[in-house]
Amino acid sequence: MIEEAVRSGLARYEYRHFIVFGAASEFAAMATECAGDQGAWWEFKDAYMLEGLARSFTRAGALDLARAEGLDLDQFSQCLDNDAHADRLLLMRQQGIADGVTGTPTFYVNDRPGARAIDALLEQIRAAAEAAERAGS
Amino acid sequence: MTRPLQLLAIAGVLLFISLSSACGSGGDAESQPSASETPSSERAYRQASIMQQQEGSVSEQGDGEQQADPVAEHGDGDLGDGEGGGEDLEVMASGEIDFGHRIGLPFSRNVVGDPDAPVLIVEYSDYQ
Repeated sequence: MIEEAVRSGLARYEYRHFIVFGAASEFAAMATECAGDQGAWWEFKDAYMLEGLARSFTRAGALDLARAEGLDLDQFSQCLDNDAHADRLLLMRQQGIADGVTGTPTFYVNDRPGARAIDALLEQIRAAAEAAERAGS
Repeated sequence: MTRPLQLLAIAGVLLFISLSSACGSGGDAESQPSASETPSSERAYRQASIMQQQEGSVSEQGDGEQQADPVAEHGDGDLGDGEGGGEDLEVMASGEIDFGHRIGLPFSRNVVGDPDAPVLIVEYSDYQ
């Protein structure tokens, strides 16, 4: 339903990693960022979020995903080996803490804490769009 | 062989050569991406775009202009706008999503949707 708001042009959506479940989650987040270097950020995000295969949370599983997406495996492996996006993940976490995130998932709509229920969240998005429109006019 | 027949044979050979040449140089048809283009060729195209962006960024920085970080532009201004150090200069992969339920939507790494949309939804989450 968020995609509906995004597709209509009302909203854009940003996903930030906020690791609460330890090393496997952190690895998957890193793999997503490494895939992002080659333009496959959303493919990996969906693979983890929608499919959620346990094997994907391992190095071998991530490499399988990378292979399936046609990524440069050397570049991808090197990125994983070097923890190339550790700073980025840390930054997202620090930002989350600064924003007041205590659990996941947590939404924000134009910097305001988002409602938990999806209907209320959509209503909040519509209200924010109307407010932005009034402010712009 | 009579002269008219010889002329006819020569004309036939010339026609054959010109047709062969036209087919051989018909690269347009061969180089057009087909509808059944494989994911890896799409990926290669996207990778090439990223590399072009990176080259552009280096040249712009060399001219004294700093490449803006799309995440900083799309985000709430806190992520990637200076607090992240090197993140500012990192070129983010961007383009149009070509699969699944977000197909056709513009993206810039971890941000999807119209950069001019009035509302920004941020989700903090863990995959597990």
